[in-house]
Amino acid sequence: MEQKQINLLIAGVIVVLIFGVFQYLISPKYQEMIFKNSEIESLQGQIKNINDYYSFTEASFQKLKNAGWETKKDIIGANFTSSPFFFPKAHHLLRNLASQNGLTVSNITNSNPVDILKTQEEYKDLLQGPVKKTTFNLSLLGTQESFKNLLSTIENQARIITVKNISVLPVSTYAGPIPEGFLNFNLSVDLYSY
Amino acid sequence: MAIDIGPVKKERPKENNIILILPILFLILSFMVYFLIAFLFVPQKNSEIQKLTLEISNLNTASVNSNIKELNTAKVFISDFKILLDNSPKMSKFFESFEAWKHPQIVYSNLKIDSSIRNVSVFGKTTTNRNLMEQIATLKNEQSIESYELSNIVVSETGETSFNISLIIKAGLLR
Repeated sequence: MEQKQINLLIAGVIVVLIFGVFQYLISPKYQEMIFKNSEIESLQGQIKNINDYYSFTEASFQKLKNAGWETKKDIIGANFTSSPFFFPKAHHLLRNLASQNGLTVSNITNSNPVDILKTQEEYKDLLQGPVKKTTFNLSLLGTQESFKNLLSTIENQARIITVKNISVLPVSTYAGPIPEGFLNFNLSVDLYSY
Repeated sequence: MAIDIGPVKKERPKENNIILILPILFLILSFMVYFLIAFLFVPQKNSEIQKLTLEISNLNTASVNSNIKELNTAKVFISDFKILLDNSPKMSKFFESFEAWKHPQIVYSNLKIDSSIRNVSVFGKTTTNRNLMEQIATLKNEQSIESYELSNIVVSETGETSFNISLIIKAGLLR
């Protein structure tokens, strides 16, 4: 065999070896590197999204603070916190509102709190919290003007009081002479809690 | 003078060498590429991934989480508050409207209001049925009233008229 032929044979073996190195060593590692690059890109995207979300929450939280949320939270939260003193507090509030407007409360009764989802309210599905509704029935005595003032006061309360039913009737029983212009008012209102 | 009579060295042709050298160079280059990727680039990428994963886990700080929790509470409170407020009728507005359209010579009593169906029923009494006619004319033109229905109209010999009236108020009035 001539030297040239031997060289060609060795060169051929080396070329095959080169293909083998590409196929079985370089190519898998290159694929692995590509995969890791895409993983890095995905993680970087994730970090960017998280940072954007955090910036958004931080800005929103700042806006909330600037809007006086700390004080408003207590006012709004009073509508939704539940406590063992809910009924006495509600009775006290309603009696106070009535007496501040010159009405005498002869009686207050209340229902049990009902999960608003079990009621017929049209808006119930829009609520996000577990809102419960309690109906209070008040029997009041006073003038129509006082009653109108009471309704205005109720509507301007931070605590939401929904007026459901009103009935205005002549005074039927009263100890002593009935003051002029006095009427009996039955007022049915809803208060809310979580 | 000595004469070299040993075998003469034949020079290899250059193309024979190139045939061998080139593949060997390519082979060395291939191994270098492999070692670069396997022992430099891939470990670099691995350490970068570890660094980024650690960065993500460090992003969940307590203060951010408490802000998010507070925002969620605010969102639920404000949303529920707004819905309940929007659905609480302003009954005082009805009384203002009632004062405006009620006939001055008709005495109304036994007023009943059901805000959920916007229904008002009231008993009226007046000295002459002309006042009732005037009242009906006013009700027909009153923008805040959706519909009305009269019932139990009683006219006495003296012309004194009593009646029941049931009204449906427009939703806009109570907002």
